[in-house]
Order: sequence, then C-alpha cells, then structure tokens
Amino acid sequence: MSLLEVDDLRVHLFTDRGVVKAVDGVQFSVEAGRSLGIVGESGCGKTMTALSLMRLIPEPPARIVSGSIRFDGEDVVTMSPDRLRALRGNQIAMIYQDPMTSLNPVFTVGEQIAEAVRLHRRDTRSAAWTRAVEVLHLVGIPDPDRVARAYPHQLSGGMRQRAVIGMALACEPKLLIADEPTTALDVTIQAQILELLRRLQGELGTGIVLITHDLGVIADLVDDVIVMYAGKLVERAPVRQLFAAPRHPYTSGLLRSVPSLDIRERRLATIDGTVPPAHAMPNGCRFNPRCTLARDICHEQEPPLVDVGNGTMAACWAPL
Amino acid sequence: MTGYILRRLLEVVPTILLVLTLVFFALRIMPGDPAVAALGEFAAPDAIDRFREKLGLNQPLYAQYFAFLAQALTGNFGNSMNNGAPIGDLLAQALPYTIALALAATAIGIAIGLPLGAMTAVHRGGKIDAFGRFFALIGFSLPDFYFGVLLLLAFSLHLDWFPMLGGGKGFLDQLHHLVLPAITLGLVMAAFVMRLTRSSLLEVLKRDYVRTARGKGVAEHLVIFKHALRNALIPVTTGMGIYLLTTLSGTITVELVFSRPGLGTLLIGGVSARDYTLVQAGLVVFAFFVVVVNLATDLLCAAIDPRIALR
Repeated sequence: MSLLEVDDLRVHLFTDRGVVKAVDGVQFSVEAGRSLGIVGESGCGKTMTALSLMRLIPEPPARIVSGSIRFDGEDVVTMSPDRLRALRGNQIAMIYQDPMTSLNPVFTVGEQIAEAVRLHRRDTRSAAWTRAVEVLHLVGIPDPDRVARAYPHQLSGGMRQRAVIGMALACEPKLLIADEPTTALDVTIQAQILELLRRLQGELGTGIVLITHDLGVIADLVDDVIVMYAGKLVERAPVRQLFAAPRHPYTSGLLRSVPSLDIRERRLATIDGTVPPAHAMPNGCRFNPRCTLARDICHEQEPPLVDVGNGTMAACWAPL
Repeated sequence: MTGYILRRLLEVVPTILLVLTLVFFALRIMPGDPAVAALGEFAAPDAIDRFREKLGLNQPLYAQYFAFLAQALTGNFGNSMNNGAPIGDLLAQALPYTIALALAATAIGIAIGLPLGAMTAVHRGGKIDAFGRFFALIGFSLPDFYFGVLLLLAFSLHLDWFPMLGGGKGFLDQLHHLVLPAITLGLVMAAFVMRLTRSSLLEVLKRDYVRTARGKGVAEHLVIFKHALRNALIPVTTGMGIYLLTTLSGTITVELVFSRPGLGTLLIGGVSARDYTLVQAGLVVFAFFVVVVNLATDLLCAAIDPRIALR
C-alpha cells in the first residue's frame, strides 16, 4: 500500500460564469520515503491538486466532485472533520507558496509553530516552545530564540519562508506537501532547504509532494514527476526518464524552454500560444492549439493516459 | 509598545490646546453680545458694564484667551453666566450620567454586535445571516429619538417595568433608569458593530493564514475566534471609536427623550439660555472625550496588532 494514492481526482470551481474544471482526472501515488514532483505552468491546477490532498481548497467555490485520495489507506475525501483535523499538520503537512501571507500577523512565529506541536503532541507549553525553537534552528535560522519571539512582519521573506517550512516539519509528518517552497528564497538558502528536505526524506521516511515550475529543483530532489496541463495530467515518468526522453510534446516544450549554459547563441525556445481560458477549452486534446504535431484525432478525441514504455505514462495520440 | 504609548500621550497635548483655542474663538465670533444676552435687551448700561467687567469681557481678546486657557487647564471653568453656579459643580453632577449611558450603550453594542457579526460571517447566506442583516437594517433605519419613544411607550407607559423620567437616586435606582436609554443607543450601536464585524471577518476568512491555521489541524471554532477574529477586530475597533463619538452626540437626544440629567441636557440648556461660559465648558469636555476615545482606540488597536506600535 502506498503512503498516498490519488485516483481520478476532479476538483471543479463553481463560479457565476460557469464550472471551471481546475483539476480534471489526476492520478498518482507516493511511497513513503519517496518524492513526487508536480510541474506545469501557472493555472494548470498544481496548487489546487496540492490543497485537495489536505482538503484545504476554498469551498465554495471549489469542490472535489469525484475521485479518491487515500492516505495510509484512509480516504481523505470522505473523512470526518475530526479525523481530518488529527491528520492535518501532524501526519500531512504543507509548506505554502507565499511566505508573506501564510503567517498570521498578530501571533509570534514561535507561537504559531508551538500551536501545531501542542495540538498534536499534547506537550506542555514550554515543551512546545522548545520544539518550535528547535525546528527554527533545523531550517537554518541563525538566531532561533530571537526569531521565535518575533512577529512575521519583523522578518525578511526568506526568514518567513523558513518559518513556514519549520511549522510544517514541527510534527515530523509522514507526508509533506511543498507548494513552491523555495521560490521566495535566494539560491544558497534554496540549496539548504532542498538538502533539509532530502535529509527528512532519508531519515524519517517522509513522502514528499513537491509543486514547482522550477525544473532544476525537480531534477535535484524528486524521484517521479507528473506534468499537468490545463487541469489534466499529461505525462508521468521517473525523473531521469522524463529529462532524458520526454514523451508528451508539452513536456518536451517545457524542457526546451529551460536556459542552458552549455549551448551558446541559441534563442531560448518557448511554447507558442497560451493556455486556453477555462471556459473555452478546445475539443480533443487540450494542448492541440499549441502543439506542432497535432493531427486530426487530436482535435476530436481526448487522449487517454497510457503506458508508453520505460515506466512512462503519457496522454498523447502521437507520443514522441 | 511603551514608547508608542508615550508618543501617543504626548501627541494629545497639542490636540487639546488646539481644541481649547477653537472653542474659545468659535464662541467669540458668534453674533450677539453675551452681556446683553444674559441681562436682557433693556438692561441698564451700567449694569451691562459691571457684568462685562465681572466676566473679564472688557479685556483685550488675547488676555481673555490666556485667562481661559489657564482656567481650562486647571479644570476651573468659572461660574455659569445665568445662575452663578460653579460650572465645575454642574459638570461633576452631569458627567457621571452621560459616561454611564455611553459605557452601557457600548457594552450592549459589543455584547450583541460582535458575536452576531461573527456568526453571520461564518454562516454567510444562512438563516442566522438573514436574521442578522434584518436586525442591522432595523437598527440603521430607526432614529434613536423615535426608538427611544417606542421603548418608553411599551415598557414604561404600558408595561410599567421601567421609570419614564429622570436619572434615579442611589445605585440600583440609577441602574433601573439606565436600562431603556442604554438599550436605545446600544441596539443601534449593535447593528453597526454587527455589520462591521461581519464584513471584516468575511475578508479575513479569505486570507492565507486562515488556511494555514486549518492546515495545522486547528479546530474550526479556534480558527475563527483565535486566528481570524483577532485580525478582524482591528477595523472593528477603529470603526467603534468613530462610532462612539457619534454616540456621544447621540446621548444628547436620548437624554432629552428620557429627560435624563447629563452633559447633553446641560449643554442644550446652556445654549438656549445663551450661557456662554457653560457652553464653552461643555464643548471643551466633549472635545476632551473625543481625544480620550481616539487615544483609547489607538492604544487598543496597537494591543491587538503588533504592527501598529512599530509605525
């Protein structure tokens, strides 16, 4: 049994202008001690997928309309609120995207971390505080005692992001969901944080779901990758396989748009066009208006996700 | 925080001075001669002269101004122009009634408005929300003088539960007299607090840090009352401060409707009798209230939100 098994997850947004299929039939699994990367452009449903795993999507307008999210065999989608609370922050924890807005401005950083500890470990106040200072030290904050007593606005963006990461790690979760955890950090800190995540994975067997648009981070940290486009899963592959031989034209386009230091005087490749708006999705494959290889069938029928060999699954009528 | 409190206290000094100056000159540029107003149009000229001399009205304006400042700053406002009673005594008799009314109304406003506002925000679109919004509509559209009269008719005249007039003698009796006036002002205030809390909390509930709290496994009632409400209280506190000041003038109408002693009754009496010294002192006290309420609002906000004290 996998630590996390997501099957046919569909999250729709019910807005005044119609239903937006933000996540439309996504499936993946994460083993304990392994990590999965989710990549894709902004608005492809990465964050919505991540939030669904803890049922933190904004309801309304969003709702999980079908599918299952099995964590340790239990379905998060149908779980009672009490059981869900016991998991959140304890067995499943999340590192949020925006460090500037994810911390409560009226409580100190230490209070906010200690709260999670006290909720799940039933520690005394002082033990929880000690743990808060400890995790701040763990995430590489040089002066954890002072930072624990500081309010979020007294800290820099990088410090806040590390505090958010510390909060997620405080109860040593079995599954860590990291939504762009290093985007707000400079490169040296980024490397430290990735190293920390790797260590957690190795020492505690933490499973990691890493959401990012930074393919460098993906190559560095994860074991398997899923690529999302317009709410759909278009490719799933082991990380080496994905970088060596992408099978979906969109994945290939993403990889070609990464600047390289080796090849000079080459214009950076881009994928022409933009993601179609949610209410005007094309028939057939959603990528067809931007695909140079699109054939007739691509405009008519949606390609199913099928095994295309070498451990790779792709949803394409004409895989590369 | 201590630095912030000291800074805010120091800022009060120029405000008070400005207020005293404005009150003084505003009354001096009003048309009409106070001596004539006090003694009547047909008073003997020498009587008018004596009256002017007694009140220092024959001195140059700047001398009057400094004399007034010196008096006001020591809390001595002289005697009433009409009946010669020391204004300090008149104020000391009236003030407790007005302060009690304003505090009781505020307590009712917060006790009803805050929980109702929080519940309507949490159950947005539900039955509680519909009830709360109806309540707010009534509260906003009923003028306090009319609402006061309705209460008097129902609970004093017909049911005879509460006294009709006056301020009462002794603590319990005064409390008994306070109920209807306090409800009159308090329910209107509750409507205001409810609306403010509702909109502010709805805004805060959308914030990322509320999601963070849920993601930690915090129980829903704590998410709302600990993480969200404290942030939502900042605009509510500021709004309350402003509203409390309008309630102070609201006390004037309510004191008249219920024939209650108080600053409003005193001031209205002073205005209609052209008692300049009394009006002058009453205005200074009202202005002093404004300054105190503003200061209290700022300090309360700083206590709720640590970011404010650092600005």
